[in-house]
Amino acid sequence: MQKLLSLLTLTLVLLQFPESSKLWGSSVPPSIFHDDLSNWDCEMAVLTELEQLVQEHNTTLTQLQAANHPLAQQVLPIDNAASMLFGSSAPEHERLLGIPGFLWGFCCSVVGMFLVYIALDDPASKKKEGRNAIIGCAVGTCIWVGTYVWLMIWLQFYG
Amino acid sequence: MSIPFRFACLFVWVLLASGLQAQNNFFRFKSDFSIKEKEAGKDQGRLITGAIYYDKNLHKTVYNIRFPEPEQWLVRDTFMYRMKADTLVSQQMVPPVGEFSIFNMILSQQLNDFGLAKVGYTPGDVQQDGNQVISQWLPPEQLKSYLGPVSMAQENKRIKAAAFYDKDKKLVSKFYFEDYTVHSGLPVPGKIYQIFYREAGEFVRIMTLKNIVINQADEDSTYDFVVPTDK
Repeated sequence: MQKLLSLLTLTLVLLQFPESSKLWGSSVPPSIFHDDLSNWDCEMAVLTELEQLVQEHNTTLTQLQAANHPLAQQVLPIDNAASMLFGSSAPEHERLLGIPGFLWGFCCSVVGMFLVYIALDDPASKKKEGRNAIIGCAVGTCIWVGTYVWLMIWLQFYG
Repeated sequence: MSIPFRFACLFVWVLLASGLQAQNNFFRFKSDFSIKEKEAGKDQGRLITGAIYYDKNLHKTVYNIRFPEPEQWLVRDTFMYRMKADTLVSQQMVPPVGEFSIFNMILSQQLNDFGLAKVGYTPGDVQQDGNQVISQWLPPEQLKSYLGPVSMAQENKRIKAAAFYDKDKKLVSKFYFEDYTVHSGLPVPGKIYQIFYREAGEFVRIMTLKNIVINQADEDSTYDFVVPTDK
């Protein structure tokens, strides 16, 4: 049972980001692990500078923002702590204003679907959130139509 | 065999057994940490710094966050509780990654194969690449339609890198483990790079671990926190 749970967990962890580039066929090319890690250190240079500042002065983001520190503008809000903490899980897909696509479709119907499709840049997010918006739109429409029909029938007999 | 010799053998055996037991009995991990993440090419990113307390036997993890704002994140099983100044501000479901958390794998000495052997992955091709041994791990037969293979690079019997693929053998993510140090006999990477490959570009996350303590004897109340909803 525990092994099954472990496998299920691993499946959840590994089934992230199906959209990626196909790299190899039947055997692993050894060169796959020849990345230059310093490139990623360079990518993170500003955040590393911020990390050192935080370590030396034990400061918070609010204090940096209050002092109008330039490094404070380089920090994005943490919208999914779990994703960052567990490392093994992939970062969240992009969402329009952080609201799930389903709700856009459910509440705003076709307009919500349209907004999700035009506002998202990431193709993977567009596909995922767009699909959720369509489902939301369909569910919302069914509920509205159902309510309308029920109301008409109710009015017919009791109105 | 004389009686004193038998006693001597027994004494040596007991010593060896207790040594082995002690070696396998790593259950607490404490460290200062930082996590940086951003999309490659973008200016802005995210940073978290703080200290982590993990108890393998209790299945509890505590993150004492210092940046962006001081707060405490308590994780037990699949729930995470976010506390600010001892007040519960939110709770959320988290993936059941306990066994696959980096801290659990370090303490259980399963980091070398990422715990894959335990869940039924089988070793495949092995190649030598300079100082590194590159091995391929294949998913269990019944999960081949969902999971892809994993390749790993080991150097001096320590994991240096791992690459995860989906069922179509498309690269999903890579890990690199750098700056190893040894604590209480346990090798612990000081820097872990994680790269996600997406159509929209690469997403990079770097975790650093410093001031590592294994099997800390005090701070019991931190390791064994009371779940806020049980108070």
